[in-house]
Amino acid sequence: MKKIFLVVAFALVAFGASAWNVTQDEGVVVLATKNLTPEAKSMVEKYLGTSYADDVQYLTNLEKKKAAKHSKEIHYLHLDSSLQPMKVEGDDALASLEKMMEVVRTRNSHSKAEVVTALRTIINLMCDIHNFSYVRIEGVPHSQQEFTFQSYGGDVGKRKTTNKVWWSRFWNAYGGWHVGFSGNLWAEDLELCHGKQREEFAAGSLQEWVSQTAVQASKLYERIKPEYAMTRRERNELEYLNYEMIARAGYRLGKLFNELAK
Amino acid sequence: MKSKISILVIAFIAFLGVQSAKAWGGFGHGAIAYVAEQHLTPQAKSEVRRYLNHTLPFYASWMDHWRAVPPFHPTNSWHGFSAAADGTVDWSKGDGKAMGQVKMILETMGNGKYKNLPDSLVRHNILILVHALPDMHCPVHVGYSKKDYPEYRYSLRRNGKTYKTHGFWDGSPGFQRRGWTYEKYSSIVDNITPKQAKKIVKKGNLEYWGKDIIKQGHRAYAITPANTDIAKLTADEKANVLALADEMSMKAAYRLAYVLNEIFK
Repeated sequence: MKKIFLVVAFALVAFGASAWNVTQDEGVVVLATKNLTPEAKSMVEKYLGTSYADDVQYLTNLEKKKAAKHSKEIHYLHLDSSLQPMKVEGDDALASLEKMMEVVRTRNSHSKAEVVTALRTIINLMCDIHNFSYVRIEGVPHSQQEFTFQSYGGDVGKRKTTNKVWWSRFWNAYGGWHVGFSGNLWAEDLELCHGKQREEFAAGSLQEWVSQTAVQASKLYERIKPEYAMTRRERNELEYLNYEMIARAGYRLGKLFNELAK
Repeated sequence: MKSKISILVIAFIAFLGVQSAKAWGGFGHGAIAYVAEQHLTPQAKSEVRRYLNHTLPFYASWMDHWRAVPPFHPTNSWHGFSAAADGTVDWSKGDGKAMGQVKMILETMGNGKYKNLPDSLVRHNILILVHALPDMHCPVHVGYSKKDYPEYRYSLRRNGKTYKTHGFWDGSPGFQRRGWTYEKYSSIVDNITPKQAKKIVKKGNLEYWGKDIIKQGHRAYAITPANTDIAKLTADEKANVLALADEMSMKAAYRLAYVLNEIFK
């Protein structure tokens, strides 16, 4: 068991916690917190304290130190060509999540430090499994994928300024429109927009959530292939899709904690 | 031949418009909208959120992202306004510009008239206000005529390389404030007293707002004259940049809140 913790802890140290940017990850956590049962709130506060959102920042800070070895697969979802989870060397996000959930379920037989690591890992990976840049589908060129993005005038066609954009960077850089949003403001905004879909978003199991991300990512990969020329309209619309994924991550993280606290 | 040249000139001016009008920048727009939201009446805040389904900062910079996408292309010129030679608003060019949009929306939605409009139109008008009204407060979004102010056509420098004057002032509220949240900006910059707020708002007098913006806009060109290297500004120069940026941001925020409060009272 200790081995698992070391691997996970090292992975977090190496990669940090940001699926999107730090404040969006914080938004996920704040949104989850707003939807916790008293039992889950008490569990989370027992292990992470009341400044729960700071854990996202804490892990990012660890990453910057580049202090340890790591498992490079932990942030990724590995799927075969039929979008079923694939076993990879070193646990991927899904496998790691399942292990960490088990630790929280059996928390009374673990040290506090182990449960804290597990909860932090869950927060981290629940963000990651909703970020398309962490989806790896067998046979799809993902890691080096880049596409061109037509800047101002793209749809109008008068001035086609094209920029090369890396697939991973595109999804991770989401939030440029909202630079200055704190985690609290993200959560407030997400609740306003998607509050009514809370139950719909949180319905299902971890495996089903992963499957939904996989299907969506697969459609995107199908359309946005290397050298694809993305229009301004498409880019804008994908920003809203990403926004919805942040909301899904938040409501689902809350549900997961509620179930683990039972 | 003459007409061909005219078309080329118009095309070039249009191109410059697309190039230059990039607004307060994401941070400035969001910060202004956040401050404005703090000054909405409960009624206005609730109505605005009901129509937008979001907080006000969420849509603060939307027009910059959609301006090139049909059917939003006409909004391309709603980011500033023109100044007449006597320092007043040039309303003859107002219909398609930010000030003209604000005036039109106030006339059609003020005093509860918004209730007579379809929800989609009310929403659309709030979206225009949240971007265009703050944007016209950016010093470099005042269209001083080339004839009156030919000296304002210049570039700055950044570590010796050419840097757009427009781009620098667009980003000025976030100048040296990397990592700030809107909450932080609001808590530090929003020190406006009720008396100052009253003076800023001046009961929604658009002529007054316009003259004020035109007057303050000149300060930007005085603070950063041609070829100023923005990477080598002195502490005083940096303070002057932020003082003007914050002054105009606060004016924009309080005026935006005033307009929304007037509409939804």
